[in-house]
Amino acid sequence: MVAIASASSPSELQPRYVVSRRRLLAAFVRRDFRIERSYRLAFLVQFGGSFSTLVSAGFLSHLVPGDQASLTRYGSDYFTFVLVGMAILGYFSVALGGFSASLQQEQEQGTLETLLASPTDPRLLLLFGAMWPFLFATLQLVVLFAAGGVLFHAKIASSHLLLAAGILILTVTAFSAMGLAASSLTIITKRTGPVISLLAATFSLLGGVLYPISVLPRALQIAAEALPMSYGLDAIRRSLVAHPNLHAIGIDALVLAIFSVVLVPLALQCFRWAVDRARRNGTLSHY
Amino acid sequence: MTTAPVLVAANLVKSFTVRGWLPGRPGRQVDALRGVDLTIRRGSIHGIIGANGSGKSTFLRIVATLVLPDSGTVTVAGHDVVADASAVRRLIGLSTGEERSLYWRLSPRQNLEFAAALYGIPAPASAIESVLDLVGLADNADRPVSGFSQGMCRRLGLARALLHEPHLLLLDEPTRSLDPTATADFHGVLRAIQRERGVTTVMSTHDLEEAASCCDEVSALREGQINGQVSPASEARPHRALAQLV
Repeated sequence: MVAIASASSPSELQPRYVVSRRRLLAAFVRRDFRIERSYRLAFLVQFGGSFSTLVSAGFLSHLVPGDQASLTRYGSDYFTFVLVGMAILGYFSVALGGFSASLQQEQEQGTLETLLASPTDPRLLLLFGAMWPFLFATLQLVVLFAAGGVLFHAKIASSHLLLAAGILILTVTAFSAMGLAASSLTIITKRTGPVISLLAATFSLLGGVLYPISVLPRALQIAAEALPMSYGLDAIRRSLVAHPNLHAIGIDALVLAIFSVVLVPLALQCFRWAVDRARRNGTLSHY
Repeated sequence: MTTAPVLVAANLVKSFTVRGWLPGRPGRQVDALRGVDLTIRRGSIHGIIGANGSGKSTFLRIVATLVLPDSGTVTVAGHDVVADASAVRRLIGLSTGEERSLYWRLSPRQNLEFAAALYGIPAPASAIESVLDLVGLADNADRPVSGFSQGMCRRLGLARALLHEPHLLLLDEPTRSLDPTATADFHGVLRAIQRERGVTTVMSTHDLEEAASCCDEVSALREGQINGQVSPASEARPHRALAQLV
């Protein structure tokens, strides 16, 4: 709610307005959509990446028979398994790198100082700056699932789509903690691209994108179980079969909720600390 | 015109450590501000002059809450820039003087719509029209900024800084690299802002001519300290008086 500060204030030089989060979020999404749309070719080509994911999943599924024990709980269809994994991986990539990328863009184009000189909380600037990539990734996900169903007959049950969406939100929230923490590094070290690429590769290896984590050696399985991505992917896949195991999904959701409640506030606090450190060092505008 | 101070800096100190690439090597300390005392009266255009590296930008960035001082205090309308940064940010408008600080793919109107949300301005359309008109960009409000000249970009930066009706306008070398005509236009806009809105302006510059012709008062920073203050209107040769301080 936008409000005008009290007129009965003792000083006539008082702040006038209060920032509305809803309007601010809309303003960030509108700004980023306008900028993205102005690069017409890049805007269209991004959907080409989704098509490539779809076709890759189709070819991979020819190599792997679906009647394997490790795929039973996910509906015994490797194409659907890998399609969901690759589609969600794209979403996770945004959660991991979207915040840093948005921040780095503001640094490089010289707009970060004017943002931080405004009364908006820096943590809101960080969160809302990545909203457009999330919305675009959601659109890509929907297109991918729809095309996978129509062109390659992916077995995605629609009876529990809302449950799957809820798990996806929970997973992305938990996973975003790492992206938010990476943004703190961006403020201090200025470039985090290689670190994020390394993390993305690790999560892709251990998170159960192309294969269930049950096929990994025990030591790697233990490492995989420490990642929110593994629980998220497992729960999303389980919720997209005709008769989902709600108990198993509930346990995964609980783990994801614990990850979210613990890690996200911690990561936001880290970001605040990083901004204060950069203000002390006078390096906010450096890139 | 009231003379109550809008900005008061007391014994302001700031140094930076420049570190080497190798970890563990001792860093070099650079003293940017070494005990700055400055009072700026409300409604004035106050110039801060000094050579490169004299601490002008550091001073403005501390006032803008972008850099934390090591010691000393700065208050804007009674609000401390460290303890009450959020209130200070609502009272100031900052233009860094870089055309880079705008969203080039957007139009001026779209840039200002975004800025309005950052400051929580309710129903911003009329405020946007008003500032675009003030800086002379109303006819170019819907063209992408990427096609603008440097002078137009500076004026748009000024419009953005004015949008939320700040009490204190901070301009960091606003006319750097502008031609004489664009500079004169910019000064005209600053005087209009002072006349019509009563806004206090603090601008840094290393151009003594500009400081003498545009400012009501000028403070000279030299090696991180205030080396003197001049009111150009009361000097027979303001340019010479300023040159002696820098």
